[in-house]
Amino acid sequence: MNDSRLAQRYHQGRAWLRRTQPGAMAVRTSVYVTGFLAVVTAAAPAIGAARAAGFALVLPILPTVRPMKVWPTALIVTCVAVWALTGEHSYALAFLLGALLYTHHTSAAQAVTMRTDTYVTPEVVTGWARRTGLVLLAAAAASALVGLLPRLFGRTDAIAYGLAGLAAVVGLGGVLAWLVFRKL
Amino acid sequence: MTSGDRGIRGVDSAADDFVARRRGQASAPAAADRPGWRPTRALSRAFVVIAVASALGVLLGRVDLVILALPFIIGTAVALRSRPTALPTVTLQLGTDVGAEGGDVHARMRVANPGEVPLSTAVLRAGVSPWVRLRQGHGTYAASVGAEMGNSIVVAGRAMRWGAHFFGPVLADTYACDNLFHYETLPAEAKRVRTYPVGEPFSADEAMPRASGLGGTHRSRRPGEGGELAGVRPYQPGDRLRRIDWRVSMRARELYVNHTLSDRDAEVVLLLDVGVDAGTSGGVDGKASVLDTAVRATAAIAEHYLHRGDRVSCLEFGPRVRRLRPGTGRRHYLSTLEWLLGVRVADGVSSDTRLLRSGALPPNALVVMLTPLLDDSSLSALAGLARAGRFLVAVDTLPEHVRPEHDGVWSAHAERLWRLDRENAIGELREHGVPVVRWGGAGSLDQVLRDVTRMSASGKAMI
Repeated sequence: MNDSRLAQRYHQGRAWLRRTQPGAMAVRTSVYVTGFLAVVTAAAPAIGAARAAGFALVLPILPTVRPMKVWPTALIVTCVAVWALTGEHSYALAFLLGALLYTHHTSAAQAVTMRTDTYVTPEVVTGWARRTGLVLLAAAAASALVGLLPRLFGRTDAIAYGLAGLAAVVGLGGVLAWLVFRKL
Repeated sequence: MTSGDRGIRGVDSAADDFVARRRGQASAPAAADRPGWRPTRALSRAFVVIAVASALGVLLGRVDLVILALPFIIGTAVALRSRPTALPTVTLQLGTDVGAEGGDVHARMRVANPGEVPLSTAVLRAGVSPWVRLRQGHGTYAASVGAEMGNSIVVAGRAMRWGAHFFGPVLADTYACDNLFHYETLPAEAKRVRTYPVGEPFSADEAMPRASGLGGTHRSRRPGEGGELAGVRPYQPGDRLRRIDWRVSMRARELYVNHTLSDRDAEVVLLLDVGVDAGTSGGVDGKASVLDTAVRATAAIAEHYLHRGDRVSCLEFGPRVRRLRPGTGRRHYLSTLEWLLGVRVADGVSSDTRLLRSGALPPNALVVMLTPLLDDSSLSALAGLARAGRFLVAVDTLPEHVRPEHDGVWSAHAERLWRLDRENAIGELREHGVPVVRWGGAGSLDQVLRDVTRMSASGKAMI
């Protein structure tokens, strides 16, 4: 790359930086930070916090830069897979990871709607934060309930749990499919 | 030299370009091609995560994986509890569609949501002329809109250069259900902001070389009703009684009347050389290109002469002969400004013969040609007009800051040669009787107008 092209890139970069808007950049930052924390949380039990942090610095870059592509999905599924492969963990940590992944998911969905030079009214960001916060509160309550179930019914009947879980997944899938495809 | 004309574009074509560009970037097809709301990639992602985590949780008998999926399950279910059906619309309203360079431009973009589901995000993308500098943002704005409500975004900017600038079209990408559904509205049509040129105030004290039409402020050589006293003569039947000069009559013992010259208006033809532009326009606060100088000077000269009651017409010197008919008064000044909005650099061969044959140059009119004196056709046109005995002034519109790009060791020498050649050409024009003056605003044409008036008194052929 010759000097003139480098200079052109430099000027393009400066122009891009000048055009960025704080609201849109805050949403992008949220995509990166939640992605970073989610990778650390998912991978730290398996490979140690330091190595996990190394991966976590790199992996959320693509979801942050290209949230409209498959990258946020890939990061979330990777985290779930790593979590599933490294044995059972505490419910609190599982909820923390779920909350981080959900925030990563919603902030990526929000980032898709706007470019980095979009002027964002505060209501958009506060509305998104409020909705996410309420969902996480409800999820915390539901997680506590799900965590209490084995204590209430004991941990002996694994087949019954499996069947109940399967029924719940099928039922849940049905409900979500109905919500999406119902005729209005 | 680089071309500085990037401000004047067809509003419709620019707007179409904007819509095509925006739609080219979008992953979804245009709004017109699809009827309504579409799920976004985020909804697919939520389903994938729920399916993967739940399936793994059931297969491995892991409650923690179900807990991990719970925020996705609850968030998606809550977001989908009510799905949008009604289609939002977007409208664009301009504060004013006429202004001057450096003036403010206001626009109101409104998204109306007739449905019962609030819009989590409505992103409005407005195509804005590069010569409109927005005070906030860069043409893309995100807002939320409540159910059965509307939300407006008022955008303010400054028109940086004369021309017909566009604002819009405005496209709205609307998202509902926590951004799980998307709908792209039909675009609101672009509006045109007419921005008139603002030049340095111009004034000229000198009389016109030849007055022509009836009525006006210039002294003509013809006797008639006017304010300029030419002398006294004996009374003749038909003379008005109020013209009688009683003092002379008493002295001469017979009736004498004052003899006046009629007041006439003059015709000024402003000839704009649009064959070439040079220099980069920096807008109203920056450096001027050749076209900027010519247009602003034309506006200032036209305002001056129209204010004095003269008739002014405008003409482009280029491949096409674009013309504004002669007229006078305030209304004609506005027509002149409107006409100037359409001035643009035209590629092609300019011809002085066609100019003379077009009938757009009346014999007694003062022709003010605004030209950068950069190409031979302009020089030969000036020489041809001078040979044809027109009252002619050439205004040099090449800004002093305009220089050829220096990209080699010989560039400086080449520039020096070019400047010498140009000075030579200007000198030859002067020898042919064409006064050439650099545009400098108020009073800059006084000296040359004086010369033209003086020379016109001694006959056309002597100019």
